[in-house]
Amino acid sequence: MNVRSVLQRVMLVGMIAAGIYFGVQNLRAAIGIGNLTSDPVSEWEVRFQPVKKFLPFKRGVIGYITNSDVPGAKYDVNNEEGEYTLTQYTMAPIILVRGDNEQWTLANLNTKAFQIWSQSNHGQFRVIPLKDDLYLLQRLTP
Amino acid sequence: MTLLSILVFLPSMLAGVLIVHLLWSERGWKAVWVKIFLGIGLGLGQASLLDFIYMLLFSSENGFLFVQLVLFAGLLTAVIVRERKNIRFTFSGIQFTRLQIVLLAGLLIVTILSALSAVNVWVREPHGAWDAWMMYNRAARFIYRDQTGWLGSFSRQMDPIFHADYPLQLGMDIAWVWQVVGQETQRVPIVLSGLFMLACAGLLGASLNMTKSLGQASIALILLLGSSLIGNEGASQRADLPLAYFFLSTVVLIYLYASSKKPGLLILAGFMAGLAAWTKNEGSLFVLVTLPALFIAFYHQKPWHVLGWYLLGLAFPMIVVLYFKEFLAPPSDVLGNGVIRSIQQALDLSRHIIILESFGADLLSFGGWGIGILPILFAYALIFKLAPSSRLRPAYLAISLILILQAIGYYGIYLITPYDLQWHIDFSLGRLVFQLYVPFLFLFFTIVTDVENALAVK
Repeated sequence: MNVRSVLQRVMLVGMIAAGIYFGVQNLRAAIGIGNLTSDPVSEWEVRFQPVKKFLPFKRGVIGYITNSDVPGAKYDVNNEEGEYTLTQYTMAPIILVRGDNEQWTLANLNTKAFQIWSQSNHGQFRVIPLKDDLYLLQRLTP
Repeated sequence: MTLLSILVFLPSMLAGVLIVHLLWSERGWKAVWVKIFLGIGLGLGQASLLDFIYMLLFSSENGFLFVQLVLFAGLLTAVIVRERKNIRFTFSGIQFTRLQIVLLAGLLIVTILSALSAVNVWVREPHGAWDAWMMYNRAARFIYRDQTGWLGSFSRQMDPIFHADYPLQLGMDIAWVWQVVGQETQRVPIVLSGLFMLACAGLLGASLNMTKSLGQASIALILLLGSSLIGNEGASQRADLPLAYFFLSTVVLIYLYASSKKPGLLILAGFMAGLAAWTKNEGSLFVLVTLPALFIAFYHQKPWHVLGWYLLGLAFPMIVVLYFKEFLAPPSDVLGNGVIRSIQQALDLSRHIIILESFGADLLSFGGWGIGILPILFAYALIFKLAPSSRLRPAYLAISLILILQAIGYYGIYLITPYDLQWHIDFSLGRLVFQLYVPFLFLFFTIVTDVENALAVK
């Protein structure tokens, strides 16, 4: 058996061993994703489910505001885009556009942010409070 | 619900297998496996294309399964009529060498680990990874939840981050099966991702088994399944694995054409490339790069004939893709910079350096095996030696050109991207390399000496 032949055998054994070893590592990584009892996307779905019942249409465009749209309110910049995309996924086929310029707006505001927002928008919207810091806003003024 | 989802997809996949068989009448069990794994993807692809047309015409109807059943019945009749005098099943005994048994045992363990990884990803992230639910599953919801108003899914008011301009391969397949089973279950996108995983790994193995050897197929599959690319990335429900599958299908069919010169293989290759364009925007770039690659590679073998057959297969999916892009899809954000700013960015030397450094780093570390799979393959090629066949030179050239031109295309997209360059690279480069890695594995193992031959000579 020459050197090349030995190297070939070592290479094959090494590749099989590496395939199995990294297969186990990949499995461990897969087990490390989230957990079995709760999935953030599914939880988000449950949270936003009531919103659709109050909207007068099945498909259309509504506004979407969060703490970051309220001057003076605190917000986590890292969560902003994630929450927006999750909400759009949940609300499909309703299209969410940033801001409160539509006839209907979904407000995802904590209590403090909602208080600040209410003071500066008094009388302009009919507010439908929902659970979990959600509000559905219907514009009263054009 | 999982079984029901598979059953609903079944007529489409069987139709795909029959289409492959009608265009490529090669016999033998090795060819049958290639046809099955080509047929799975082709079937899922044709169903998505036809459902798009069906929805344009009859969006208030729920009869698309009937369309697929009629298609399957028609194709089955055509095959039976053509094959009625040729049907015979011969079972030759299969004998494995000791080397093949060792490799198959290793492959079995790696396959089980990969499958367990996939199941874990599906259970823990039933909606898929971020991109999967944000783009493909979201698109499916927009189509399914308001069928009659489904064209509103492509509104220009949709924030560009949701990529409503992305082609609808996955979205249409998910939506029509939801319509058939009557509920919006995550089992459908999970089953769809599983079918593409099966088809991708199966096609790589079956095509290498047919063109080279069982041992060669096994070692290639150990490399593919031993990385996180199939079990973890594939299970994430993103479109990169289906896209890699359609790239692989196209290059396998081009290779088979080079070895047998049967035009039906080029028609199928064109169709698969068109399905790549129907899967993701990178697929449209793939279609563009395959044309000059085929022309150059087959320059001495009637290149216009080659292109003609290829374009014949490409025509139907590309008409659908172009219709979607021209009349429905909002503009693509990647091309949103405008000409002048794109030129300015392309002339910025620092962007070239960032992209080249990132490409180099990713190629050297890709695959999650610590030192990177490409350096391992380099060492493998040195130890086992390359053994290209001069008869297949056009195939090697065509596939190499396709992969190189596609990589150059990705490079160009990074140059002109309107997004922060480093963010865009960090977010996407690994998946782009993955798209090219699977067809590269096929090319590599067709050129390198078979493990059986290498070890038998001693």
